[in-house]
Amino acid sequence: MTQPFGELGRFAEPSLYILVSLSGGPKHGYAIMADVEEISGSPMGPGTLYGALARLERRGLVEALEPEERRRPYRLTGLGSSTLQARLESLGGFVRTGLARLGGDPT
Amino acid sequence: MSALVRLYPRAWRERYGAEFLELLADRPASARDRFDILHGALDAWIHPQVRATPAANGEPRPLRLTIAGPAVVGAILLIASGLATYAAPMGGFGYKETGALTTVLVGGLIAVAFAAVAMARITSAGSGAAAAILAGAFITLLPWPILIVGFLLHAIATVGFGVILFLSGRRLMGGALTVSALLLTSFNTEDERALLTIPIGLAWILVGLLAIRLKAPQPITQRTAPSRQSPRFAATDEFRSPSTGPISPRLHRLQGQARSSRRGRGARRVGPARSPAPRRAPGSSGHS
Repeated sequence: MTQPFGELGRFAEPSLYILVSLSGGPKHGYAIMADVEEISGSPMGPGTLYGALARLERRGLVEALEPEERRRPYRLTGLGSSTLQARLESLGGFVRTGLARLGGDPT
Repeated sequence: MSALVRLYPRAWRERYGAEFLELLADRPASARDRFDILHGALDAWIHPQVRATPAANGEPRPLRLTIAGPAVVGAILLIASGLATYAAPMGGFGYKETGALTTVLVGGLIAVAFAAVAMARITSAGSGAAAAILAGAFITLLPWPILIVGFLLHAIATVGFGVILFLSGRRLMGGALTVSALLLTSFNTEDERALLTIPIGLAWILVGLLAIRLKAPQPITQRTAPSRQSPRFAATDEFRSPSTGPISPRLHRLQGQARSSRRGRGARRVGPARSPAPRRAPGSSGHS
């Protein structure tokens, strides 16, 4: 389920941030950038944002809604939601293992 | 700012251009953003995510013509600039006055760089080297002495691209590009080395002519997951995982599972991602 992230190359991490941002509801480009900056603590460039969005859209993980003036909102698809869920669960296991080992638990 | 957006492929601009410009109007681009946009434009050429617009006759534009066209035009510009530079009179400071000729040379470098990018797309080889060729060509637009860095990057990346083509079985194209690009690294406007644009020009003409005979890649849309959003989107070789092979069946299965899952939940939808498309997006109205 997390396989699509492996093919996104340098866009894998931005794509994850975008999916997390859209999991809170549809957003257009500027709103995604602002939200991602709040989530990650660092800004995402416009070229990176649209490079990742194009990949996510082509893979059916996000979809575009009707434009509002010249802004086009995007939302998570069902596939995007399940892919994000699987990815976050995988990362959660990774984080738990790392923290446990740091704490001396050789799990 | 729109000049930066024009660096993207036309198909990309038609799909994302308006909203991208709106985003840049909302948030003026910093120097870092400009670099990011340049990087994004290069990526859009190397890894196109949006299918090219059909040609006037309704058929997809043959990709091989996107190699031959810029290759031959660029080659002519390179050869012309070399000959004219060689014949140019010496200026007042002991150097040749090559201002306008440099523009012709840079135009030629950019044109053949686009041919390299198209070549990388059709042969699925050397996309990194083609990106470096294009980056080098664009850097030559900057003032001296930075343009020298761009020129050398362009030439060295062309050597690498030629080697990759050679190793991938396109020996005539690869060999010609490798040897002529190696010569190009010795280019100098002040003496007979100005003529070193001629071998590289001839090599690109050869590439352009041979490219016309190239077979276009098999339509990839048949073996990849179609986009649910728009038929404009076509998958490319990027959809194939080198380690696991084609993943389109898996994507089809995942999409099927997602649809089944939604049907199974029926009208009881949970969470914003599964809710019907709102006409007005909450997050999209936050900034205006």
